[in-house]
Amino acid sequence: MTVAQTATTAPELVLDDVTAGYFDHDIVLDGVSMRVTPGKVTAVLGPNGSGKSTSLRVLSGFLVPRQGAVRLGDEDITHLSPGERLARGVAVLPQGRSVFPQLTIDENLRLGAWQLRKDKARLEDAVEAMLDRYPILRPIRSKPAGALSGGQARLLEFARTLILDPKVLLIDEPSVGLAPVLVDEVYEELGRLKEEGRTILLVDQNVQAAVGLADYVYTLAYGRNHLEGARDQFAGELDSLIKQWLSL
Amino acid sequence: MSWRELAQALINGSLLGGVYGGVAMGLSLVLGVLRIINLAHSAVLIFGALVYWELVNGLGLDPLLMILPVAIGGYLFGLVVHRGLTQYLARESDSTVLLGFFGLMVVIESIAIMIWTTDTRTVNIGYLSDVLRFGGIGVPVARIVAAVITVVVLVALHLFLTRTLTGAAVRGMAENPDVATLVGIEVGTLSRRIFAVGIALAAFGGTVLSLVQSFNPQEHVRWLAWAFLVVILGGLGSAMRTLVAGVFVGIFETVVGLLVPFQYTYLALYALLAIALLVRNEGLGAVRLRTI
Amino acid sequence: MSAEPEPKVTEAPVEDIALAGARATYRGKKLPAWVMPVIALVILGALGVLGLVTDMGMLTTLTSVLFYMVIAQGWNLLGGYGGYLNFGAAIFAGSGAYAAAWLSNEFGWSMWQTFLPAAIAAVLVSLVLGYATLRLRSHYFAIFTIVFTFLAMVIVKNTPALGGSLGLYVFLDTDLDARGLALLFYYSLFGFAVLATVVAYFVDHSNFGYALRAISEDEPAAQVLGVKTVSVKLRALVIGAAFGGVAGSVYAFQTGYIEPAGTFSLDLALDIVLVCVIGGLATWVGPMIGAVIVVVLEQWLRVFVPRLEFFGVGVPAEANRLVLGILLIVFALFIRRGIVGLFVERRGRRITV
Repeated sequence: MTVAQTATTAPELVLDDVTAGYFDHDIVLDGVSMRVTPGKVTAVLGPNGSGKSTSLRVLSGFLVPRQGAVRLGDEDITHLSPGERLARGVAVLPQGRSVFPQLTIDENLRLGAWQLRKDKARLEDAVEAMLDRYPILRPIRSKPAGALSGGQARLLEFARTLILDPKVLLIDEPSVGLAPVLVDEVYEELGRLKEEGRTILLVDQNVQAAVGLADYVYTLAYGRNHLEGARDQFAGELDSLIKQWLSL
Repeated sequence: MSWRELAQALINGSLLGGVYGGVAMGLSLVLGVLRIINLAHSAVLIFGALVYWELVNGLGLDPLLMILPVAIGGYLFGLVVHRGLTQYLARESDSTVLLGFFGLMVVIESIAIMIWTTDTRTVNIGYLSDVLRFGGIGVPVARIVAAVITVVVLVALHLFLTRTLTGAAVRGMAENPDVATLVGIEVGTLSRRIFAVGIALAAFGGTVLSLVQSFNPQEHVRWLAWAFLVVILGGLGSAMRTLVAGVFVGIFETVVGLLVPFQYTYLALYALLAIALLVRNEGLGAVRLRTI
Repeated sequence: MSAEPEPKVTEAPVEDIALAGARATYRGKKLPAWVMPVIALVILGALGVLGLVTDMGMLTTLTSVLFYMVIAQGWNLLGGYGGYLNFGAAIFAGSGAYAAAWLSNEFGWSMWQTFLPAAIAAVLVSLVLGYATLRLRSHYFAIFTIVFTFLAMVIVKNTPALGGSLGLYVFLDTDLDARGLALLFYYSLFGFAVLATVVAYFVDHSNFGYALRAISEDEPAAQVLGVKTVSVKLRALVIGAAFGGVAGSVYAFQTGYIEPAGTFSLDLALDIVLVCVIGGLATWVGPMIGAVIVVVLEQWLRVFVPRLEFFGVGVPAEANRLVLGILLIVFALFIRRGIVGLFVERRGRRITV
């Protein structure tokens, strides 16, 4: 269990020339394209309102684009629900707290493995594997998740997202709303996922940390593609980028 | 008031209250899980009671065996209502939902009166009409049977919600439908089934209520009031707390009935409702949060 | 990570910004500003003249139009603008009717003298209802208004001074003939309809109206912005109740007999909600158009339904209400902004899954 997908088995996730918005007359994304390369960490950066989170919503299936397509390998998944995408190996770690607070840790994990519900043995194995991976959760597994501290809850969210051993991980603002001490822990965990060779799309406001992890970086501005390139091309430009965004 | 009267009131009140738990459960479930206040709850309840009356009194079928078919009928009706109405309303504002369900209430009530008129009806409980006596305390068998059946149903619902993975999915969906969608729970399908279970429970509530009370399609709002009181006291979506709240209301009603003339028990119960509303203030705190 | 301080970009979630922007944006075909006032003046003008020239049957129909118009204009303030649906229209009209009937029976007051007490009675009842429930979320308020209608009936049924379940007869000591009497009721209601429309117009164009709309759109946000939501809602409820009360007073004298089950029934709530929903919630002209449509529809059903046969069996009168219920569902599903809403403005619709 939890042997990470290697680059050769993971398909490429592609956002192809997508236009999208929340109301029938607004445009939040205007012809945005990006690729999530197998086995690599792809970071999406940009100032407020540039369309980062909306791109992730389109990739995860919460927002159907008006134009353009989302593809996983050879398959067009533009109109698939988040659940159907999960079944194909695309898992999402949403922004902010997303545990079910009144459910126990155990139940939270089991719901993460909801798609295994017809295979009791595999479900139990998956839960055990996650409790092995995050041993801090094991002794408190029957406590309600609402009682967890911010850091513990984040680990539970990681566990719930990883429990089906997804091929592609979509991670939205992993450190937002966390105490500074915990932020480092979160990026440590992300580093571990990178070492395991997982395919990750990281949408982040923490530019330094994200670029530190990323293999490839996209930046968005006003809902359009702005810059893109390998990490090395960005490392030197960070300060000027941030200054530019702050003045927007 | 003698001790015997009090004991009688307590016993009868708890049995009646058990039935009240059944009367309220559908409302509580739909409100707790789907955040929809089903104004048509009591109309369905009385419709269920009338169908039950037709089966038992009209066709002479066994009262105990006819409870399940009525509940299943309610479930199927709930699926239809969800497909035709609820799923479209659920995404809209509270007031649109309320308009739709008020309309549904009027439709169901009108159809009930068109078929069965506004006569007050009593189910012919046949072999359940005995009264058991323990040391001067009389307890109608029908009331015991209705309360026991209700308790069994509510305990089963409680076990389903707390001990099964699907039950956890229902509770998770109630807490955060978006994350539920994210982990692959089919929120649409599950909502439809839960709504149908809520309607089935309303119809079931009508059958057990009709075992212990006469009923009248015009006065179904009375049962909406009772169910609402139980829901406010018991909180949302929990079968056991709904049962306890129902028993409390039942006891309150019978004990107050000993102290004051019959018609004033209504007022006492409404006073209780007003107090419960003021104390619990379930209101704005229950706004649903969307995280992704 | 390096330990040196780094510039940190904090941001509000982009969705919030997008949503707030879209909420504020109204789009659609706008009619010229003079159209609605002209429609209102035409309706009121026609009603003002028609009372003098029509026969008695038509006068009764038009009296119903005005009765609905008065109550619906008042109801629309909280129910339409504020988004707090109130299924207890009968509570306020009933309080007014009973106050008027009681004063008339007990002290021989004339109809004119009962208007103010009827309004006060309805306002007092609305304050009780409002204080108990307006801090709650709108759907709790709505269900409570249904329950409260039933409670009001129970209370009146058990109050001997109000005639108990037998009801009260109400006599008007006057030497007017039948037509004169009918005109008296008609023009009393007409006066209140004009007043209610003027009030609705001013609320529609005032900060009070915007506060109510803000509550309807997003109550927590309105609260944060400094709208005293409970007090705004309470004021809207009270104004609506006052109009319900005076309409109830006229109703009591017009019918000459009131009893609890008929007075405190949800039928009036259904009619009033339909008037506003069909005409257009949260528009000041909507209730006027809706009142005309609903009364015409109900008259037509009253004539049409008894002629129907279903396999040789007559269709019961309840079919009227069935049609009204279905109509309400249809409007809730498809035409939420009512007839006026179709022409005035269209709200941006959220299109996420």
